[in-house]
Amino acid sequence: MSDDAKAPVKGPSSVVPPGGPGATAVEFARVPMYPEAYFDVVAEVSRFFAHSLGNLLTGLNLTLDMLASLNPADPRAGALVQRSLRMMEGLCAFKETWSGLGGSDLRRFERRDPIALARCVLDQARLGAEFSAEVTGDAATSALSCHPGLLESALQYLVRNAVDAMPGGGHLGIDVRSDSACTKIAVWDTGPGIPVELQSKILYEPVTTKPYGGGIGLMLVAMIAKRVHLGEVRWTSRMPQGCIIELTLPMRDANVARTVP
Amino acid sequence: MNPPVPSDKSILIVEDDIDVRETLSEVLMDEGYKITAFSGGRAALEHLRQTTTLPALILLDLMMPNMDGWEFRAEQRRNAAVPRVPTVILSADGNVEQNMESLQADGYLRKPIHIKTLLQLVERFCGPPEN
Repeated sequence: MSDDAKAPVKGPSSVVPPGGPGATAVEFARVPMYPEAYFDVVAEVSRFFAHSLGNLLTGLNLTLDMLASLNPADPRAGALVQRSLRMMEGLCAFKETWSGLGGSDLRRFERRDPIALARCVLDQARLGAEFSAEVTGDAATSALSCHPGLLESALQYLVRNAVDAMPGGGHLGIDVRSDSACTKIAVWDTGPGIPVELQSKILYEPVTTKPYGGGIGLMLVAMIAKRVHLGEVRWTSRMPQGCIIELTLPMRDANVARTVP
Repeated sequence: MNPPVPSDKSILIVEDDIDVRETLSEVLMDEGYKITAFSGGRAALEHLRQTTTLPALILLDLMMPNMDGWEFRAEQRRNAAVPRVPTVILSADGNVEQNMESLQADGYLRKPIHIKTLLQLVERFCGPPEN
């Protein structure tokens, strides 16, 4: 076999839809994406999952082992129980944030109302009384062709990031605007903004201002916007107050017209 | 300045996740090991350059923000000012064994880490616990 014959064939026409070349083939083939992009995203998401769960379970394993071997009168027992509970809460939060990905087919696109999606994400965030939140946008926003699981996960991540940036509470929201070419979804907050030293890296390298986490969440959001939806991500930081992360997602027709390089 | 002195029971932990860092530290301190811990690669490298007592082992997380384990290893191997210390990588990656080989590390611990595996590995590099 020649090298050319072994090389992967690129382009949407080569994509085999899930379940075989049935009724979904035409619809699926209209999504102009290299097959490799799907696998990159799957690999990155899997890596992120393994890393995050590996850390949570390591902490929990070791803490439970320590608890099991402690003398009941050991004064550390209370702190270890508290830590175990905190890590179990971390597991629950992880599940809630990323459950949209569970068992989902990365190649499945659906039409969704982005304002309803934004409202759903804010509802699920269960913000405390110290936060106020709103969804704003055009009432006539068009339905968006998107991967609902991944887009919802990206928005959930951005909302969680906004909440984490305001430990004392604050105001946050999701603004949705669309025209015939694209839908823009902006998640904003009144937190301290993005530190200057991290601004050039946040979408491309693992960075974080938190004492925990791998710092790759924004990279994943960027991958979901750029590689899955062929869109863009932009951020605006208004230090000392406020940050906006805006996803620009092409409408399906614009998506089809776009030429994959 | 005198060269740093190796210490049998001293371990350097480089791990960004605070819960993992604290639980690893506590488990190993309970066994009698002396622990120094950092949340990132840069601070750990700086410590290695300046310390007078070298750790017997470095437990190095691979996936960290700002400076990850790969960069740490590259700098550790490239810079003669950073003393050579056996390094075990910590990772949830399914390819952790291959990563260990390409990083020329001395061992690996796959996350989630279990206490028995951790203590067996540490004992291999640092000797039995003092307790």
